[in-house]
Amino acid sequence: MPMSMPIWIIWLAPLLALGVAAVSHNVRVSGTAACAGALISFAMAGVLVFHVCHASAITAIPHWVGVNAFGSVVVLIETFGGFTAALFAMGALSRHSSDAHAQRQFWIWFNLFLLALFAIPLLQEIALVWLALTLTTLFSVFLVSFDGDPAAFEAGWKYALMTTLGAAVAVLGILMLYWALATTGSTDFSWSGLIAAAPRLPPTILNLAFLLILIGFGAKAALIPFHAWLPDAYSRAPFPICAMLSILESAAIPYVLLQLAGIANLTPHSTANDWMLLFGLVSAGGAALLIIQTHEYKRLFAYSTIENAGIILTAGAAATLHAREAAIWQILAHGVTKPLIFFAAGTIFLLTQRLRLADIRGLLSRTRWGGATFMAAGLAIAGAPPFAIFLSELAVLKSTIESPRPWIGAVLALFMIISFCAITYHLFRMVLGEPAAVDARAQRALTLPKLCTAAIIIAAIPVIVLGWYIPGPIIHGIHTAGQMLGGSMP
Amino acid sequence: MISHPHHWLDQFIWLTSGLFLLCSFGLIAAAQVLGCLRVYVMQSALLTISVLLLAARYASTDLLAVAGIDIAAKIILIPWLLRRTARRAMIQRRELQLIISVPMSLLIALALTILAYYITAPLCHGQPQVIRAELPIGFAAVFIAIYTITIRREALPQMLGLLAIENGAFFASIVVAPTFPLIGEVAAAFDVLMVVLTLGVLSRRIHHISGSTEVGLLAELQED
Repeated sequence: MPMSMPIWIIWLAPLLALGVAAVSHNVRVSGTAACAGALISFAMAGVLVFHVCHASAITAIPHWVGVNAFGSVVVLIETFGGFTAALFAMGALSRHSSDAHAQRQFWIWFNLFLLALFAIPLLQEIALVWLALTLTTLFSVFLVSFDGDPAAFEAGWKYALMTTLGAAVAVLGILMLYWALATTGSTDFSWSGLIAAAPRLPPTILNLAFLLILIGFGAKAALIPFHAWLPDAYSRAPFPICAMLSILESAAIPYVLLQLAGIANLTPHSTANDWMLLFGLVSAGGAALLIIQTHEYKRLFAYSTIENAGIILTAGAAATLHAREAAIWQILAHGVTKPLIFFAAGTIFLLTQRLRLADIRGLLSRTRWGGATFMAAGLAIAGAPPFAIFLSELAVLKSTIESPRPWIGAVLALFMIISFCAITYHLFRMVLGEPAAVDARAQRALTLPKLCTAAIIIAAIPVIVLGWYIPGPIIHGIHTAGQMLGGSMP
Repeated sequence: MISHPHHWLDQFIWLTSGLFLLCSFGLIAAAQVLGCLRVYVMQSALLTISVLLLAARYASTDLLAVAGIDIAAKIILIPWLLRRTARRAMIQRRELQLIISVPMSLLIALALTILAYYITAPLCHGQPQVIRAELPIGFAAVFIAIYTITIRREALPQMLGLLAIENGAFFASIVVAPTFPLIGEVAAAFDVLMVVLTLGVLSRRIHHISGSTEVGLLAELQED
């Protein structure tokens, strides 16, 4: 099997699932196809990570399609999230009131979204990376407004408008980036082409290009102050879609931004790190404060996604090898934990039909397993040991404190403590204590669809394992990616 | 400073640039949905003319293809798609509301234009005349279009504002990167069509449910 084969299979699997969803009228068949497709993609992403261990980068079509070490880690996170989200969605849809037509549409959009999402780290040509990123918005609009009521459409509209606005600003940045490249006489608009031309890129154009792309994609990643769309979109979107949006915002977009910053850092007088640091710290700090004052647990975890995107960008901007590795580690740890917490929150919603924090009390006394799982997942996302994020946040703090600007580490530590306290405060109030006055709806069946339980168990595996042990190929991938972002050619 | 020879086509390129900027102001002032669409199509036409002029100036076949894509996507397909997906909202003959009044908005747009010249000044330094003419205007068009989106309350004018940003971005870029790979142009045109299709369908559903496309009035989801 040629080395590039897994790349094609990662695309082909959701494409086939899309075909099934388009043709089949049976929703269960479409759902099964989506799960199977994403599972195959995940297996192939695992193969990619393993291959990249030996070859550091795999090229399918030179300058167009291929994957580097960083990309392989990102695609692993995306495919794992895609698989578990499909599984959870299949279970949750069986309880959903929507008609068969709407559910069929759901699987079509879901597979289209996965196709665009998987394409981001697998494409090398920058204009196409931009296109894939934009398409993730357009394909997820109808997933966000899946409920079909006015509030859902309002959320979908805000989401589509703000993120497309971001994409339009980013396109100006991309075009400026191409201008910078063209002044060096090169027309190879791929990651490797940019790295090769980087020392000769004119800094004034490049700095403006990076800032425009950071703002544009920052709006898509809901970095503060461009997060206006996020509370609405997350509180209306189905839980598995929230999980996928989180992966898009905290894995795929930081991947693009960190790669670009790596290129900008190869030029003299680059301001890329300063801007990234500014946006990173504002997002991490702002989101930590938003977590305190939120009233819905879905939004709570949405804000925690912004906080993590902020932490990742900040660590990337600290610009040492260890900090960059820690940033990628954080992407991995958060990328596997976020689906788990959204699935756990999804089961809480299935059981209680409530979104507001104040309406949920004493979960543990009503559903022992549901409450305990939610508690554990919540602690995992807050960054408590012995889960994955604890280790990665520790690595981020250690590396930023050792960087030339140690105050970054101190500020980040403060933000992490605030968000940890805020998340655990809300969590304890929800899980412990006496249940609120139980109404008729909440009394209803306290059983979960089996597929939802399965999705939670599978999603929990890496969260627990990565808290203790990181497989060799992944360590190698993170290390190679960290070096590559620092400018050494693979 | 390097002196660049004038080309007889430059006069026309400056003229188109001026008219292009005027269209950005027009997008703010247009009082009806159909008017917004007409201004957008006019702006797209000016973008295409500008691409054609540059194609003649640089004898570039790539730019000819870009002009072809622009005509097909922005002047023919988009208006057609919009009329199809959002017919009812399109033909309503009522005044659109702005959050900030038109005269004030035009003043702000003027300030944004000056800002665009200020930001692009370091980039334009020592560049040929055409770049100094078109680059700031492209940026100004982007800024004004973003501003238009923030002051419009209704779905379709907001969407046309989005499309105008893309117009501005390409107006700025065709002159600095005339060799921009065609695939980029195709990707952008494809994206623009997808935006129109998705947002068009979305706005139709909003219209269907709430009887209006005044998305600015939907405020059910405020964080309290």
